[in-house]
Amino acid sequence: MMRYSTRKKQLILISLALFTFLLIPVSASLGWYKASLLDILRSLFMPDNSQLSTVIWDLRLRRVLAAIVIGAILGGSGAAIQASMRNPLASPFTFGLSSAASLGVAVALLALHGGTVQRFQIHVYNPFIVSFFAFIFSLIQVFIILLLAYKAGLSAGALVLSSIAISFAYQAILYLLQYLYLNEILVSTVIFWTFGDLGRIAWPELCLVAFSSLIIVFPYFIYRSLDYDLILGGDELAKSSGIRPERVRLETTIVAAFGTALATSFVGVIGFICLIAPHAARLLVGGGHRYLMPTSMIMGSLILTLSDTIGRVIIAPTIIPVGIMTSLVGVPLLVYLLVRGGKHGYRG
Amino acid sequence: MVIEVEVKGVKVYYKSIKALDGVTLSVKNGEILSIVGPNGAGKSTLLKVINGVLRPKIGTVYVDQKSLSDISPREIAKRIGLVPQKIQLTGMLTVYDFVMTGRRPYIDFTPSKRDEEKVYEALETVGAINLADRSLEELSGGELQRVIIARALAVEPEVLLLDEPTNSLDLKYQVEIQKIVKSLRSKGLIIIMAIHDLTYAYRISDKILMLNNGRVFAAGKPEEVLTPKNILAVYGVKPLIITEYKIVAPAET
Repeated sequence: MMRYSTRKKQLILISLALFTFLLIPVSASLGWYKASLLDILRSLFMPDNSQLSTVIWDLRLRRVLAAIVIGAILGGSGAAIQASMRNPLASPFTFGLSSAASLGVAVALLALHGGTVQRFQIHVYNPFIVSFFAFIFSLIQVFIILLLAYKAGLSAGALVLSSIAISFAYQAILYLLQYLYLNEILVSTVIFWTFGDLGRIAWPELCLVAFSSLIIVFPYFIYRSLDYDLILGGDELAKSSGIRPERVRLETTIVAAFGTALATSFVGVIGFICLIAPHAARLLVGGGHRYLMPTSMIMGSLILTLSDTIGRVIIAPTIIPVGIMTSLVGVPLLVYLLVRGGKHGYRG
Repeated sequence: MVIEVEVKGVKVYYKSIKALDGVTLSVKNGEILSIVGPNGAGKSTLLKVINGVLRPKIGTVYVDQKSLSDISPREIAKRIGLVPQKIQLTGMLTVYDFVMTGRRPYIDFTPSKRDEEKVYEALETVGAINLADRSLEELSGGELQRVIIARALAVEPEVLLLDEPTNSLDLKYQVEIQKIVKSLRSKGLIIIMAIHDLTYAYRISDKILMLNNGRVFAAGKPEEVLTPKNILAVYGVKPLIITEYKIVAPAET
């Protein structure tokens, strides 16, 4: 007989997945170009040459799918980093991985001609180069974090605060690049770009992100679920069960950096989803990663899709970039977690 | 069937400091060995060596006549269950999830029916089955200690290592843990524990190993090891020993 609590967790997970799935057509139906849900479904399943089909397929559906894939990457990465570092404040964003990746993107775009900046738009010529640079730069940040944690022995809070400080340095370099390479109009475009926005990802780039995360990021995090539970109990326990906690931490932060770099390459910095989603998921299904990991991923998708949808409709036709939306919700949560310190399900 | 843990001539250095210097011991199944000695004598280090987590520079640990250096960490993890002195209480883990981590050496991807059964069996053994869905953070000291022992039992170990199992527990829980440890001995486990409380060691152990500065100072039956002379030499404290009740206390009041 299955345990009652296991059934409950499965039910929550399935309901969340179903809800997120149903949100796809609903979110696609909302926006400046009005269409009924029925029309949406028709153009989803039987696309034609109508304006509606174009709007749905080329703009909205791509946007919603991007939210789902990137939300899942960020949610999963947040849960994995929090567990492997035993740090409730940890996430790709608060560890500065996102800022590092965005600097990498800027370098690839501006200095190495991976794309061009035109008025209101950035053209990516080579998505691989852009993501590669984003990944390299976030790897640099991974090693800085691990050095700070192991060599300097920083506490959970201090590690996050110093990472945030370091991400200011990445931003400063980013501004310097803009100052050296761009004129006023282009600067405004790049600044616009530094707020995460799901609207700018193109189909081939979305496919690259989805494919890479499906074969690397998601399977790795799911595979490590039991090890994350083990590491939560302490390194001594993990070692006695034949696991090398340092190795799991290193792999996890690299995989999370990879996922974050991919996401940041094409949609910019989307803050706080990676911090919020695991905490929200933990409230629903508890701390065991067998359920927490998939729930965090779905939670990430759900929150990102909702934030983007709200950003699109709240002062339409103006679209608020989703990075701004998530920061508005995320900053109070981060401050709350810092104030509550150890008490939020974490201690020691 | 007799299974034995043997430690032969183990030397461990932390940088240039000698932590263990030629330690030798042997325990059979159905026996409790207590490692005693002052702080820094090498008790925890010795447990780590027996657990295979720390490789000695010289010397070998044999479990069931196999050298630990010839077995993979995963195989070692299937034979030896560890009850650490303390665990991190993080991340809202439930008792069930925590005890399941003891099954890690057996699980490749997802826990099987058998893993689930073993978790319940272990919880049953320590009388904690009703705690399965509670969060670790909510448990009392005694409950938590039982759960940590359950996790080590979920390993289905031949050897159980306990590091200060009664530390920070009140008398009632100390007695409770003592009962559990004794019942595990009668089930045929090899039990090795590091312990400060000499009275506790006296009462529960079949053998005692007294360490001092990384060396074996004395080894044998409790009454042979816990003598006034040995205790004075190792701890520098004159003891009061009441053999009738197996009590060891400082003579000074």
